[in-house]
Amino acid sequence: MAEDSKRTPNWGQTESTPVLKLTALPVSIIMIALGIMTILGGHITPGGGFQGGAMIAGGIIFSILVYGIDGTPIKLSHKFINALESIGALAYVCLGLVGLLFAGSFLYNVGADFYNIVPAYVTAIFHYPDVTNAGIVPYLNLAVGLKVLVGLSTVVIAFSQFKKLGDDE
Amino acid sequence: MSDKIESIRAFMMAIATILFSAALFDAIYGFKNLIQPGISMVYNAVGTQIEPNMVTLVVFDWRGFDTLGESLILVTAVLVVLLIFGKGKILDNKLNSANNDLAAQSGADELNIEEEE
Repeated sequence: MAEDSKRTPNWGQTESTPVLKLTALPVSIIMIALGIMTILGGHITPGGGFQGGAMIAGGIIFSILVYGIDGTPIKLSHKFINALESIGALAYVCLGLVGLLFAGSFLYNVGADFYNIVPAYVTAIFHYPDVTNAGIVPYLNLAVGLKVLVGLSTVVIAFSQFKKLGDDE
Repeated sequence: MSDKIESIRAFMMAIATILFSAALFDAIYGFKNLIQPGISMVYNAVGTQIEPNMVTLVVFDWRGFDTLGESLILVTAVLVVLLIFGKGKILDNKLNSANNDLAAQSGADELNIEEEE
């Protein structure tokens, strides 16, 4: 049973209507793409990692609500979620520690280097390849986006699985 | 026994509250010397040379530490939600029953100790 559901997703077994089933997947893909755009344009638009991560999580949650936790096409495994969360947190803290190491203050913008206290090769590493002088801010956006996307979608995934566990008992 | 502990706890609580409130009021009283009214204009003038967008500049450059704490708050909230609502559901039954046995044993031990005293 479990192997069958893994091989062919049972999209038809939930109680949502055909209209929802037809529109939910394209809409959630559009939401995820919009969220990725918001994260990547975080340093030139008044958006950022938090907002973009929340939009991606909204797309994932919409798909889970319509198709059910077993039949959702956008499936996140436990290991994948774990890796995303760890990479996000570690990247943010490590970028902060680079600033602490070379400039003396945590989360100093080593890519933009406003005060000219960081060696040139460090600035060349962390400089965002763009016409704008953003520094490490796009990378911080990416890290926060990963963290928020995982955090918001984990709650919904866990609650849908709690319900299944409660039915088993 | 328990009355004594309660009174000691209340005494320490009172001292801690007095110390905390004294420090807080002192900080508030001395805070007016630290406020510079024109700092917002300085930020507005310098800001766009560092970063193209002001919102991103404030959230990620000047207050990057604050943003780190914000995302850690989200992680902590999710963790607490999972701990509270998933209590006794995530572990498999064998582990749960072992835990229950342990809890029952320790409870029995405590009862025995109290009886001996």
